[in-house]
Amino acid sequence: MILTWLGIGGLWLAAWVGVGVPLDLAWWPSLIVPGAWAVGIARRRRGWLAVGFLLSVGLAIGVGFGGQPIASLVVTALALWTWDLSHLWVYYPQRGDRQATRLARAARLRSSVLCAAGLLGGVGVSSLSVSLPFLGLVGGAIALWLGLVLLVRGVGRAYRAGGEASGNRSSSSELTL
Amino acid sequence: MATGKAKTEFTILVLLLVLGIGLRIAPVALLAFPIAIHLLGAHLLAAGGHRPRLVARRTLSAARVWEGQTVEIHTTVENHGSRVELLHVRGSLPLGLDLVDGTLDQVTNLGAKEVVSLQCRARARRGLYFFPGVRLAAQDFLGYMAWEDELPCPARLVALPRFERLVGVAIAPRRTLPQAGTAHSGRGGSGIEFFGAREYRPGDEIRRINWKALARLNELVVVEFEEERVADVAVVLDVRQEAYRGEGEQDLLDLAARGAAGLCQAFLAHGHRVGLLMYGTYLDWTYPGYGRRHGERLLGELARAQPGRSEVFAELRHLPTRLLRPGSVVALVSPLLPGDSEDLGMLAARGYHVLTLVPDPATVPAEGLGGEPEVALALRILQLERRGMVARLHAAGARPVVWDARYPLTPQARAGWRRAR
Repeated sequence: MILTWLGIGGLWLAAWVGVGVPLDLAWWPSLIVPGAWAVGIARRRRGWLAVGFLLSVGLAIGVGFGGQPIASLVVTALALWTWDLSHLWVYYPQRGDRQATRLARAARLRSSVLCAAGLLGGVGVSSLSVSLPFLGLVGGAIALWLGLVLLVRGVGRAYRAGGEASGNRSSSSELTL
Repeated sequence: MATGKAKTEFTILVLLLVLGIGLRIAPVALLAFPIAIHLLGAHLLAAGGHRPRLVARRTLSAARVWEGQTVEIHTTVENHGSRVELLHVRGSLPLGLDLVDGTLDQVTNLGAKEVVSLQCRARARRGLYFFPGVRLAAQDFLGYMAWEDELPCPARLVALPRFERLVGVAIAPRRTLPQAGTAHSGRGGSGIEFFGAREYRPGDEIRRINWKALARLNELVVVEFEEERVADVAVVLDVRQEAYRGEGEQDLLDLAARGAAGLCQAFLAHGHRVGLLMYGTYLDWTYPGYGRRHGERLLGELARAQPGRSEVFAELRHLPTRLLRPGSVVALVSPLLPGDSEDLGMLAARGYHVLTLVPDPATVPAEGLGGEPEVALALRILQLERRGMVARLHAAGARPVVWDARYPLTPQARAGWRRAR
């Protein structure tokens, strides 16, 4: 929970720093972003979390437009991290249970690794200077899209229901008052 | 299948790609990279575990218990496939079973061939219970792929009504069966209770001659005792919804079922042939029989008694007398409805030996009623109405016993039905 709040605060601060630490009134509407996250976490609503994530990406785009691509990538990575952690907070029942804590720790580790990899990948790509023809870019995007769709379908097939059930093993016992 | 989270993230990724590439805005297109890597990585890691192949089993410590007893429920889920990162097992209890301790819900990580087991104890009230399946939700750590299903693992539990062993209930039906039993047959012969005296006929036992009468009348007179035989008994449990309306209706039906169970067992213990009719929804008739096994069968039938509604069986006048042997005993267990006393009177007038056990609804504790004067007044009116009905039953020869639920049935039944006639 604390990490989730750290993520929310961190992404907003990163965006603030990214746009040059402004103090004028035009900046303050950006507080809607942590506000949406806060509502989603407090009310355990996935919809509000999605709004928070979407607004965070919007904030990152804004930072990117300000000419700070690294800062915008940091904001996006922190948004993804917060997105994962807030879902963990909303979904994981039996908080406090040792097993649940262990699972949540594993999930946090995976999320951190993926976000860090995404950030590093983004930073790496931003430092590259490749000239691609427009059609090549479009083709690449379509290939990426198709790849993702195929991946999602493949995983969906892997997770299709295939459970078995077995019946009653009840044993009768003597009736005693 | 992909979850809402994955779909949301995928949509944002596509939007960023379309905007960034379509409008040639590099900062926007750049943001797609971390999201794409995050999404791709999460999906690849989620696909590491293949199709969850789970098997659920449920065992109960007993298939039959007495009402109020606890039963241990043990549910296991075994993973026959590869590792499931996050498994949420959600069991549930049928309505009427109260969880005493243990858990029905667990989140765990289940490796291949591993087993997760849930154990709980539940207290059962009277009833027949069919356990629902176990709901399982599996997903990866970050919730990108999810699988949800219900594995049926049927189990059946019967909570039999507790009953008192009634003693001292005497019956004297008009017709009896040929076997020797305890019901007063209304015929002279061998027995215990004095029946009458008549003149000696050849073949009479010498020990039956009343010597004092011989001395007084100078005639041979023999003493006869009332023959005791086995009788046909139909125990009728009233399950009409109308009779069990209001607060604590289930408690009242449980009480009535206990009374019916006590009567069935008492009559069976005396060797009578006992049938059971649950009157209210449909023709729920258990054919008459004898013995312990039949007694257990009747208890099982009483366990599943639930109030029901039917236009046909709304009044007792439609009691299917074709099922009841003429002149037999009809023991009705009912809180009574207006008009029932007249119908029972007609039944008695047709030659049936009618016994009526009336569980008093006013004595069944109802927590939601409160102690307002209006409630007290309503209860008083209810009691007066019931007294009127009971008085009419007395007059009609339906031999009512009003059962005060706060006290055991045995002394009340003995007081009301001690004498056969």
